[in-house]
Amino acid sequence: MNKPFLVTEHLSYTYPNEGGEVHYALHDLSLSIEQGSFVAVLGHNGSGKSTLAKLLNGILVPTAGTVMVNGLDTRPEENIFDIRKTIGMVFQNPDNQLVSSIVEEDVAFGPENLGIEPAEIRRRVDEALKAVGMEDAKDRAPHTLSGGQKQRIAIAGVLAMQPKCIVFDESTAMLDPRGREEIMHTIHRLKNELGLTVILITHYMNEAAVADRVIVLNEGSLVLDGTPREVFSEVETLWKIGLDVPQTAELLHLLNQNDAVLKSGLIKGGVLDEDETLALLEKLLGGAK
Amino acid sequence: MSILSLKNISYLYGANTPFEHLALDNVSLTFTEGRITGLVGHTGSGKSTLAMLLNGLEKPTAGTVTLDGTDIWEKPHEMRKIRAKVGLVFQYPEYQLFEETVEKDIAFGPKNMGKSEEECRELVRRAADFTGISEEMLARSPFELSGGERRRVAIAGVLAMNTDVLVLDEPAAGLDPKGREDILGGVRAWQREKNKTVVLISHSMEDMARYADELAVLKDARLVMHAATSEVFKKPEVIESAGLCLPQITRITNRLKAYGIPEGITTPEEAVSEILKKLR
Repeated sequence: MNKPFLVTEHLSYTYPNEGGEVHYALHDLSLSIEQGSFVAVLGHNGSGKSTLAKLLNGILVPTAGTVMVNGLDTRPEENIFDIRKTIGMVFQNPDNQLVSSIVEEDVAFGPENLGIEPAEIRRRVDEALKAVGMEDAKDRAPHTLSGGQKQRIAIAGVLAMQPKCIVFDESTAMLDPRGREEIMHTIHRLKNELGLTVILITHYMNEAAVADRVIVLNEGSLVLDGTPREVFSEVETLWKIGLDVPQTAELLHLLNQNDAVLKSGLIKGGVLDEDETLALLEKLLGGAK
Repeated sequence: MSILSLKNISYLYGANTPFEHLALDNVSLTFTEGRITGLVGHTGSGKSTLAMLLNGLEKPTAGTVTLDGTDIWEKPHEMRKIRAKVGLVFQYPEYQLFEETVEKDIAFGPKNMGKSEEECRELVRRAADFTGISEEMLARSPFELSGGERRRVAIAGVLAMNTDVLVLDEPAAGLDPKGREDILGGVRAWQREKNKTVVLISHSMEDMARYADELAVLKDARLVMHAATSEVFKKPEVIESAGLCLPQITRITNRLKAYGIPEGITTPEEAVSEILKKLR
């Protein structure tokens, strides 16, 4: 088992409210995330997902409790520089994250601000563009790229700062299916080849289904925490808090409401994969032939 | 009956410049009255350009746009009349709210169309009902609301204008499942009750499966298919070549043809019903 990389203990955060009423965006959240893991965070709008993302790299500091990033507490001001070097963030809208008119200059922006030597910046930019499969676009203007390509440049900009972890805050929400696929493919490469810790905040259940671990937040509290198989077998709980489940999980859950199917014992909770579901349905329908 | 149609439409951006780009190439498409037509295609396929042609925000390079049998560019100075019949909602419309209260914001459109105070109040009330906006919320500032609530206010503002045709560009982008249902379910209830014509642009084939009566598929500036949603879902090769994904449930059930399961199933509920029929 890898060592804990991100640890929150009794973490709470309240947004300032003019009426004096206290509203917890996050409430008493204790989590430990291992180095090199791929964790998906689910929850409806307003459940506290983005607040958690901002607390992880010190954009926000806890109202109560602590966040430790690779052993560093996010509260003291003097730790912030190192924390931001450790955790990069990729947001929803790629257009808000690109600052230069040439792709390679954009990727160099982060390391330049860290005061890195020019030769080292050159090496990092080339490496980062290669990691996201955009090395051929280094001389292009970002506005001529597709949404998925722009988002990959934004990821390269973060990679060039050599973080140990990247938080993706609904980074595929504005992309078409092809763009989403490009980003998910890139995320897998970063995790498998560079050993990065990945935190993926998403509304797409199919993206969460391929993570190592899924965390579900509701009204600022932790509701479910487990493997995708474990979490997506809790269909009723997820529906109750206004979330979807992958369509395979929904289909099998609905089929199991039928007595004959239930008695057959063929369908057990948490099947996710399309091929796995198909094989199961073939077995069920084959028996009826 | 056809209400709005495009005939041999082409649209060229940046003509005679190095940035010249053909966004629509000889597209002919008819929108049927009282139906929700989903407009799908990859980024850059021409969906948003087509939306802007529908209410005369852009003029086609070639071809005609016809509303109720009349070319909308016949009298360009009367375009205001066209826009009173064809409403258009851009992506992320919540950033366009500006009034002091939600009620005033929703009333802005009908007021500008010359409706009386009393008519405006009634239009606001009905639009608020469709989008689940409470009396209490009507009195609040739009800037105190959550993102999903602000989106509902923006959509209510367009419903209140009561146009014959409503074009929505990605109205549910970035929302969670409940938020999507609030917006798209509200639009459909409005459309069904008043027999309106809706053009819905989205990348989510799951949403299309649930809400669109028919689908028009664009690929590289051309229309490649226009048919009932379930018919389009029987042609995975068309959907996939247009850079889109069939809903997971359709992909799985399309592979169960040998067991007598029909192709083109769009929802888990429908799949369960077909599978149980075979088990009886």
